[in-house]
Amino acid sequence: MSDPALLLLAPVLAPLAAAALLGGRLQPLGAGLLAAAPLTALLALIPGVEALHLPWLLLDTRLGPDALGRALLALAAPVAAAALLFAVAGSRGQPRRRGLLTALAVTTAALMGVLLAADLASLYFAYAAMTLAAYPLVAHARTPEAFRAGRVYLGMAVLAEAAVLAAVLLLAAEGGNAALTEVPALVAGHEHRTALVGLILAGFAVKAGVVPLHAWLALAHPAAPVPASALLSALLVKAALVAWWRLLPIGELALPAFGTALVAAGLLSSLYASLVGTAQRRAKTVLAYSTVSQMGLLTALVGLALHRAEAAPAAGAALAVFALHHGLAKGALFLACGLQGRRRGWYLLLPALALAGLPGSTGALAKAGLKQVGGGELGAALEPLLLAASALTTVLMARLLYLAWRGPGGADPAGRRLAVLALVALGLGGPWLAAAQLAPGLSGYALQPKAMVEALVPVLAGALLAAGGVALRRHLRLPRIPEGDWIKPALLAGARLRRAGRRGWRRLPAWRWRPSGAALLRGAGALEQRLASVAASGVLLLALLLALAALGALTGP
Amino acid sequence: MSALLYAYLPLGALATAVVTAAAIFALGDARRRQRTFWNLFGATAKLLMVAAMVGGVLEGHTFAVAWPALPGVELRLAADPLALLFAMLSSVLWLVTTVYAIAYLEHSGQRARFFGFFSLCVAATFGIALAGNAFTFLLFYEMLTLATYPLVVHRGHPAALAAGRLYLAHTLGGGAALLAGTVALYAAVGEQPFTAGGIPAVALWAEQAPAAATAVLVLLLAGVAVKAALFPLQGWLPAAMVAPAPVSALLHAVAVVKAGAFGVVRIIEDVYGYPLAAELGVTPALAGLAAVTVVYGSVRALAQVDLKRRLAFSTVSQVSFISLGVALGGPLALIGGLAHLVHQGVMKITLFFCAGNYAETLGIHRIDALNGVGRRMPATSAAFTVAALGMIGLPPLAGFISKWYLGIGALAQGQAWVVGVLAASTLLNAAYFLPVLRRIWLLPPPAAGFPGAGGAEAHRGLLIPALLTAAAVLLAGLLAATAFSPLGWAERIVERGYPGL
Repeated sequence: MSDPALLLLAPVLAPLAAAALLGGRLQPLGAGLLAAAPLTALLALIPGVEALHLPWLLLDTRLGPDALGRALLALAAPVAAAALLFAVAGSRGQPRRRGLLTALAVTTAALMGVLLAADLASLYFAYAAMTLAAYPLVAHARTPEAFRAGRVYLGMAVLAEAAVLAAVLLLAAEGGNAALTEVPALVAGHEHRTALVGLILAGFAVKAGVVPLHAWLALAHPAAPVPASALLSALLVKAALVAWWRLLPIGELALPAFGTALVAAGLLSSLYASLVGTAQRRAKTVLAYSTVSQMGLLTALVGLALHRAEAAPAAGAALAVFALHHGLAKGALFLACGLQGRRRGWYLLLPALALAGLPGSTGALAKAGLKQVGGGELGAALEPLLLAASALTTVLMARLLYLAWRGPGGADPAGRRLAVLALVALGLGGPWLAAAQLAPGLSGYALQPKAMVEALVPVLAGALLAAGGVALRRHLRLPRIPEGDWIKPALLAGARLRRAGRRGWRRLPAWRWRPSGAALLRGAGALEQRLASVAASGVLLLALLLALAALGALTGP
Repeated sequence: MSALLYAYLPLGALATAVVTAAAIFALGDARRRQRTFWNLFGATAKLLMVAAMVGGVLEGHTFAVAWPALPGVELRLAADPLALLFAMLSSVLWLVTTVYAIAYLEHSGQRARFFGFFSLCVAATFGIALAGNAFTFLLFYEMLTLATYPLVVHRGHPAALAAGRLYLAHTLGGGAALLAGTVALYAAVGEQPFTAGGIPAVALWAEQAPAAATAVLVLLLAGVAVKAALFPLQGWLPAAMVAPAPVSALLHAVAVVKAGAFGVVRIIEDVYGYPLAAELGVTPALAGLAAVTVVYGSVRALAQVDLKRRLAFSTVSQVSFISLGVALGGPLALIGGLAHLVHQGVMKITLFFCAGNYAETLGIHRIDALNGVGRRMPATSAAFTVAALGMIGLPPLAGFISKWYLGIGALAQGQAWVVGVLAASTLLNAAYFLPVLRRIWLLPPPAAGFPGAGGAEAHRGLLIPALLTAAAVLLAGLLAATAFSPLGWAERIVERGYPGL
């Protein structure tokens, strides 16, 4: 058992093992190990550690990340480590610390599983486990607000899970527990291709935060503790992209209708979320909407690859670079929002500028990748929308800096500052390195004078808008938009409707039987009781009748 | 001599359970130690004999014992792979449940009666598993009804007696249907052993008299459908949960509902054969009925506030997956159904053990009283969580494997609607189990503390069985790809017995 591929198990097992040490006397050791555990994801990137086959596990488990998986493992290692370090540092003695750390560890392990999975069942397993493990993170505060956020999250996630399950079963019916490398071809040739692609798109759209399925994000992020938000926003949502990328027939065949729809949904998400996010009053909510906005751009990238099969390789590289950029920046921003110091704004500044897409920043690099993939007629239509999205992102980041610049005051543990600084520093260089590896020429393209100017225009426009907004802040009233925009009115309307419905029923002339939900269930119960007395005699009667019939038929001709 | 003993293993295993019952009745209430010895001895001995038979079948031996009972009718015990699937399930879970029941009930009255009938009940279940023809099956099926009644009414209060009446009314009615069907079957084709893939004589008869064959098939299925709790004959099951927790565990996981589901498998696969049953148009109706039951049971479970009642409706829903797998036909769906026979057993027995632990340790029966119980009883709650997640069908737990095979099996048969049923069942299971888990782990415990404060976890004898079965839920899923997992065994059954599917 000295197969180097066994190292692929480390990213999954290490966080779990460290979490197991959290009880009892080894607690400080466990906490320290926990913070370091995600770094084992880097082991999976060692050349020669490629594929692990465990035929006895589950339904013939295979591990081995694809290119996108590798890029995201390289992202997940530092971001999860920073989030865990942030959670561990200075939290001793806080209520439910062990619960939080354990949930973070399980979520991290499951996420690593998603990135490493190479067969359908393992991917589904890891994805479902990740979804479920994130619930205690969202509901951690145990306040009514947190529980509501948790309920919305889990409700939407479980509904999505049903779509995913149906898609997975449709796939498995054709190819058994297929290797993920075979899945795109399976989908391309599937008997129910349209339904299957629709289920895959819908099933993962919730996690990807495509408007209007983004509502949970806007509730969950402000409710969850800071390290949990960082994990959720920087990494978990990207698991949906990985799933799309592996399951959709990308590169196999072009699906122009689905591709266009996905691009449109992504770009509209991006614009909408930036606008709504700017009206928000809490920094973490602004960041949540920023995640929705950025995920919209990533969704559009997937859509482009689905639209044109030839665009797939470039789109894959651009997706990896964009994900890396956004993950590092967003992780740093969320963690920085958890700092207390008066001057925390300085920690926020660089990642915020990068997200805005300042020329020369990793954001500009990511957007250059997106533009390069564009091309074609769809690309031409895309151009103005992308410009608008960039400008609005700048406004959103300005709003964030405005809200979060001054911390409430207080000392920050060194570990927490270190976690933020590490992510900020990595964010400056990491995506460039990835681009050099995955998309040669992209860095050069992004640094051309023409591209720099093109990138600068929307940022300047956004900055001007933001400055105007600050200058006019006494005369300007931002609309009040609740977190999760449509979800609260929808829940309220649902409750009101139910109440009105009930009242309406009561006012109706006294019917003998009113088919309300509760009455129906009561009716079922009563019917069951009545059946109980009838059933025995009924079955007997049936038995006798049938027996007579059978005997008659037997003795007949 | 030893060869003869070996050949008579089915009889030996059956006799062990009967002798245990007799010994316990004879010992009376007072002699606790001897009773416990007999209980554990009987369960262990039977388990060993079944294990020996499993080994034998693996080597290609067949075990069949037959002797004439009436002119033209014989009693027949046979151990084919399908029989051993059920026999192994009942033997293992009997041992675990016995340990649990000793810890649960050793301090209440009427113990001799309870444990005696407990053993008889398992003997009957074992007989059903190994029955080699319709007559033997009928005999043990009726014996099971009679042996379970004293267990259901064990507490003796009015609610228990009412539940017992309901139970008897249903199962005796079902038994009558089965009796009529069996008599008609014997009248038509005479004495015939169960044959994998269908009895040839039955196929011949169905060709000549399709109407009669259909009627008899419906009659037989109606007889077992009562115990399998198929809609609309499921009413007795939620009522019967007034019985003590070990009885509920046994009823829901091994004995009664499983006997019904196993009967469905036997009748469809080994009496008529799936192709014939499908040709007679009975299996589509059965699949539809099973699907309705799946959804109906889950919807009703949602509305329950009593933990055991919610679990009971969940059983109604989950057991129907077995009938569904059989009725769909095709090797994959059958594998899914057979694996679920075991999977549902270990998951549901864990849940009932845990419900019993909550009731016994803290006096909790209602779901809304479970707030914060995870901190007070972490091990029990962990076991409950594993089993509940398994029920939802979350990988890598047992329920996921069942769902996977049922889903791809249904699609292979061109029945895409079943995927919708599976997805709906997942959603509904999530809707009635996740809120319970939230209460257990996330909500604060009552300010006044739990009743019976002081002690920590449940008694060892209650806790260890629950932990063992919870581990089985995990392992059945994690190690599904190995040959000795329930899935592996189900694949062997189908490969050996039903290559024609």
